[in-house]
Amino acid sequence: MIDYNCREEWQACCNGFRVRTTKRTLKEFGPRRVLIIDDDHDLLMAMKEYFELEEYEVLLARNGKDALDLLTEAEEKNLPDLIFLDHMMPVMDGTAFSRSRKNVPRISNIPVVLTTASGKFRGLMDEVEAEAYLQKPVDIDQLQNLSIHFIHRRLETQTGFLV
Amino acid sequence: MKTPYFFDESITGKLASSIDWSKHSLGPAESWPVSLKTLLGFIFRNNHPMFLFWGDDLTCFYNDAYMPSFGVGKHPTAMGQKGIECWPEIWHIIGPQIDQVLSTGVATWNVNHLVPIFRNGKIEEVYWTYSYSPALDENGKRVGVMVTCTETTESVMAQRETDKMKDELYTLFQKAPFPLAMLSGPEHRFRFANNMYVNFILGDVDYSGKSVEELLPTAKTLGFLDLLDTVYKTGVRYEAENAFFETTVNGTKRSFYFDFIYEPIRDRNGEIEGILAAVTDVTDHVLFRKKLEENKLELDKAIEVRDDFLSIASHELKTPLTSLLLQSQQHQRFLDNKDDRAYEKDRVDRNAAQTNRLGKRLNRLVDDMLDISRIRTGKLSMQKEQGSISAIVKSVLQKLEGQIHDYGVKVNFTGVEDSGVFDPFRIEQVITNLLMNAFLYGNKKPVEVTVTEVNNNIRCTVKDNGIGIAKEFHESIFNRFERVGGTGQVSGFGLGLFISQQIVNAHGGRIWVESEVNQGSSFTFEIPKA
Repeated sequence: MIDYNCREEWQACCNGFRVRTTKRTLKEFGPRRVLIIDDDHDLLMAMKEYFELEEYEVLLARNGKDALDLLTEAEEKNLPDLIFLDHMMPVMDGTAFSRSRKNVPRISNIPVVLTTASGKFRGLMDEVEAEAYLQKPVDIDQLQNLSIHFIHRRLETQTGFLV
Repeated sequence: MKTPYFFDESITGKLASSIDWSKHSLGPAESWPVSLKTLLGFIFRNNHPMFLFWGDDLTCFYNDAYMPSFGVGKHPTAMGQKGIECWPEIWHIIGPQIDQVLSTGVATWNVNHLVPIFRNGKIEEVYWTYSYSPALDENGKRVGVMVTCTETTESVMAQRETDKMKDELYTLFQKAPFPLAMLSGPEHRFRFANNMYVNFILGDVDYSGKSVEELLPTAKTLGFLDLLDTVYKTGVRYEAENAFFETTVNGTKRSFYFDFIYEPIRDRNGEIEGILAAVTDVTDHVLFRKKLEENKLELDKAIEVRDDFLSIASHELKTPLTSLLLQSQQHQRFLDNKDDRAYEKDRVDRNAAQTNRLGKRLNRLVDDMLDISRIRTGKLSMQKEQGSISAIVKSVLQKLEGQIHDYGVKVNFTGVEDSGVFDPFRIEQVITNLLMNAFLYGNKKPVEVTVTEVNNNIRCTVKDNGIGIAKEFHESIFNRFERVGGTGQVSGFGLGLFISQQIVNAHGGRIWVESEVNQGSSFTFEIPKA
C-alpha cells in the first residue's frame, strides 16, 4: 500500500521517484517522540496506544495552546520528532497554532501531519503548513508509513548520515 | 323679346324665362308685381338653395342651387308648376306648414327634418334643415312662402353612423374582457367604467362624474394618482406590470396585482381631456410566481442546511470512528503477527470498555442528528414527569466521572432540593451538553454548577473559568451548526447548544450565556416548575 497522502510524494512523482512502502518499523529508529494535538480524548488515547506499542514517547495536547505551552517549556532534547495536528479545536485551532509556532525557531522545523475529517485537506494543509495529511478515520498502515517516512527523514537531517 | 331683368343666365333663370307665362295663371312676366320680380331676381342670383311658392296656386320657383335636391325627376317640370302638383308625395307635410306661415306670418325653422321626396325614380329618405318664411307683395300681404333650405341628409347620415359607432364602441368597452375606465379632466373624474371595472375595482357605486380620489382613496396613498396626474400633464402613455393595489369593494377589502395602461385621450384640438385606464388582473400569476420563488428560496436554504449538516455530521462521526478503527486495526495486527499481546487481559478489558464507550458516543451523535431532524420537522416531543434537576445534575456528574478525571477539571455543585415537571431525559441531555462544553473550553479550571429556584422557575447554571466567548457570538452559538471563532479562539461547538435551546424552549423556558473573553462562560437555563 503506497499512499502517504504526502505532499512530498506528489513532488516526488513528478521527478519519476516514488516513495516505497517500507518493511522497516518505527521501532528501528530507536525511542523517538511524537506530539498529538487533538481535542478528542478518545482519539488521543488511541493514537497514544499505537505509538506506545512502538515504544515511542507520546506527548498529548488538547488544543493548540496546550501544545504551544508544552513545546515552549520542553527541553531541546525532549522535543517531538513529528507532530500530528487536528484543525478544528477549541481555545486555539490548527491555523493559529501554526502561526504561533513559526516564531519559535526550535519548534518551527518539526514536521507536521494534518489529521482532519474535512474533505478540504489541501487548503487546510496550506493553512497549517503541514507536509502531509491523514484523513480521519485514520488508517493504521498510513499512519505507520507516514510516521516512518518523517522520522527517517528527520534522523537523516539530524545526523547527516543515511540511517 | 327681351329677357326680363329678374331672370338671369343661370339654368333655372333661363328655364323660367323660356316659359310662356302669358298662358299661366300668373300672367305675362312683365305684368308680375314688383315684389315677385325683386324676389325672383334675388333667388336666381343666390347660391343658397331657395324655393318659392307664390300666389293662389303656390306656383313653384327655384334656383340652380336647389336643383340637386330634386335629384332626377322634378326638374325642369317643377318650374312654374302648382305646388300641390309638384310635391304630391309630401303635400300632407308641407301643405299645412305653408298654410300656417301664410295665416300667421311666423317663419318656421326645422333642423335635420325628414322630408322624403321622390327623386331618382323612387321615394328617398331626405333630411333638411329649412325655413318657411312669408313672402309679401307691395301691400304687405302674404302671398307666398319662401323656402330656404339645406339638404342635411349627408350630415344626418354621418351623424347616424357616428352614433352607431359610438354604440358599438360602448358595447365593445362594456364587454371588454378586462376592466376599462375613461377618466376626464385634471381631477380624473369617471366618465365611463365597464362592468368588469365596476365589479373588480369600484363596486356598486354611482361612479359617474366622481373623481378617482373620491372613489379610490388608496389610489392616492399607493401613488396611482400621481401617475394619472403625470399622464394628464405630459400626455405620455404609461404602462406598468405587476402593480399592487388594495381597495375596498362592496365592503370587502381586496388586494390584487395587475398590469395596466394609462392612455391619454385627446380632444379635436389635440388637448388632453382625459385618460383611458385599462387593467389586467394578474394576481393569480403574481401570487403563483411569488410562491414559486419562496419555495425555491426555502429549497435552496434547505439544501444549504442539509449540506452543512452532512459536512458537520461526517466530521463528528469520523473522529470517534478513528479511535475505534485504530484500536481494532492494532488488534488485528497482533492477531496477524501471532502476537500474544492480543490476549493480554488489561488490553482486552481496556479495548472492550473503549469500544463500548465509542459505540455509545457514535450512538449519541446519531441521536443528536435525529433530534435535529425532529426539530426541523417539529417532532421533538417532551415526555414530562415529576423530577428534580439537582438530582439529574448529580447523576450526570457521576456518569461523567471518567471525563472529569481525563480533562483534569474540578466540578463544584451547589443545589437546592428542587422539584418540577419536565422531561428528565431531555434535561439530562442539556446538562450533559453544558458540562462537556465547560470541560472542553474551561481551561482545566474549576467548573461551578448551581441549581436554584427563582420565582416559579428552576434555574441551572454551569459556569467555567475558561477562554470565554466574545459578546458578538452570544446569540449565534445557539444557532444550528454555529461554530464560534474562525480566528483560532474557539471552535468545536456542534449541535449541542442548538439542541439544548430547542429542548429548553419546548419546556417554555430559556437558555442564555453570560461571558467575556478570557473571563469564563456562564450558561444558564431556566424552566417553569410546572
